[in-house]
Amino acid sequence: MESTIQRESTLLLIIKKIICEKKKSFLYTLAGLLGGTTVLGFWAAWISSEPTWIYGILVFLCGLACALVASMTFSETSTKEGRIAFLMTPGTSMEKYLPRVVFSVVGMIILSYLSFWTTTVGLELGNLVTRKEFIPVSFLTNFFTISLNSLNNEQILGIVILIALFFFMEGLYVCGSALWPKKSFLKTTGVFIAIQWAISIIGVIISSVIDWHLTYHITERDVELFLWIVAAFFFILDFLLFYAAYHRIKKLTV
Amino acid sequence: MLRIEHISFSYSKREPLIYDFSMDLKQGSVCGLLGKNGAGKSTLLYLICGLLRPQSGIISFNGMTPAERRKDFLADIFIVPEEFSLPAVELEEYVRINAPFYPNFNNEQLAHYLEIFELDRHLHLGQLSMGQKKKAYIAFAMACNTSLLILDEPTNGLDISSKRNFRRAVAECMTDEKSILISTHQVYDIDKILDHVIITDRKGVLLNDSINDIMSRMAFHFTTDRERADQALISLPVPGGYNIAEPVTSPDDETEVNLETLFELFQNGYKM
Repeated sequence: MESTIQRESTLLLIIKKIICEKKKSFLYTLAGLLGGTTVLGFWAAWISSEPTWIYGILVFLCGLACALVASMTFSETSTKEGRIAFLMTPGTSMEKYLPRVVFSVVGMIILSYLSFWTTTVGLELGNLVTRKEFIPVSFLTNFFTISLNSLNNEQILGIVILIALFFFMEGLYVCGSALWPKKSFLKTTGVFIAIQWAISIIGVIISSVIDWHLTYHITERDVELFLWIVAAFFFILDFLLFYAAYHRIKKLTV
Repeated sequence: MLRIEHISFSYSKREPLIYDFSMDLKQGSVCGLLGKNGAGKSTLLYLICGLLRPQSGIISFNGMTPAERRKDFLADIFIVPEEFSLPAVELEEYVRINAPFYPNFNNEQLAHYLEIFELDRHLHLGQLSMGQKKKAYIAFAMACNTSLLILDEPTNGLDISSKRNFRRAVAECMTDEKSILISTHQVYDIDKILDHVIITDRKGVLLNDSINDIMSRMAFHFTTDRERADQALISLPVPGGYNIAEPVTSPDDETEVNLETLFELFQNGYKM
């Protein structure tokens, strides 16, 4: 038999396949997030003369969008037909797993970054329309020109913890998508809330024990060390969650 | 090519759906897999494809274990399930994206099978009826030229002329290097194209034989003679008389195999 098709790497073929089959979803997500945040910025400038508070809301909305998209990473496996098509695609489990996770996690990080810009565009347009003048939004420019050299240890630690917690949330929702492809967002959010409660309760118990039983005076250095340990713990947990999702996909049956 | 040795599988802990099942499938055959509803035919097909894992026993396809789902295994086997979904894209785009996964895919053959099925290449898969989607999918599957092509109820949803076209496509796509395994209840849709038959029930294989061997041992007739029907191995009442199966007594007595009569014979406990 003559093969008229030139062989490409399977990973690249799978990436092309995902883009082709999900291009409508990608476009809707892109248009929804970027268009919605532009409108959001415009609305904030419309109702307020100092509208930079909108960035706080944007962080929450982007976080929610990232969680929602992560929970749909393996949505095609929610039906038997989808599972058959997924499992019978010639490729290793890693080749089927990795592009989907990269699209949903890294893709949304990039989109969230872009949404800050589109919110700013909306803000500027809103300022122009409502106040008939262009007011440069310096917040965003300052935010993105921060260099690591200008940050102190506390700020760096804060950013590291933020990144660890963000990937913890993403890992949880990706894992949830692999475990429960149907109604994944709701089920995983339930688990997320339960974990937060558990962490809070454990934290209260530990601090009560420290308060009642220890005469040792906790220094700022101790707190900083503790937070670095917490960050390291969460990074390990993030890896385990993504690995658990991969393992689940590897063991998936029809 | 395909060897199944003493596999067992169950969805629940109560009762195994497939128990101590063994069979071989050789290259270059069109094999019909027949069985009652709930006998585990689709489950067996999923086990062969690696979509399910047997709880015991061994399945080997060209020396590979399906449950490992290796890339070269998946590129050499294709299943058209009874229910499937296709993305809402142009057929050309679907072929452009999926064909590269199969090293033996042949574009000219795809065009030929589409012609047999009376389908235009410039179709949008999202706008097709279920029957048209099935024909397009079967045409693509055949053009992939995998060593094993599995079709689960392929003629469901096809009209009369499409069923005829399906038989023609199967006959034309067969080579000595590949095998086709067809699971179906619609025996009359495929009886003319089979050269091997497997009849199963939950307890295992009731019959695993070539059509030629069956023909050399059993003759299938229609008769209005009640006495002859009573003496046959099996007689199925049909309008106007009986379809019967009798042992072949001489080479001149060989007839075409009536799959429905054959199926009922073995379901009633006959052993060859």
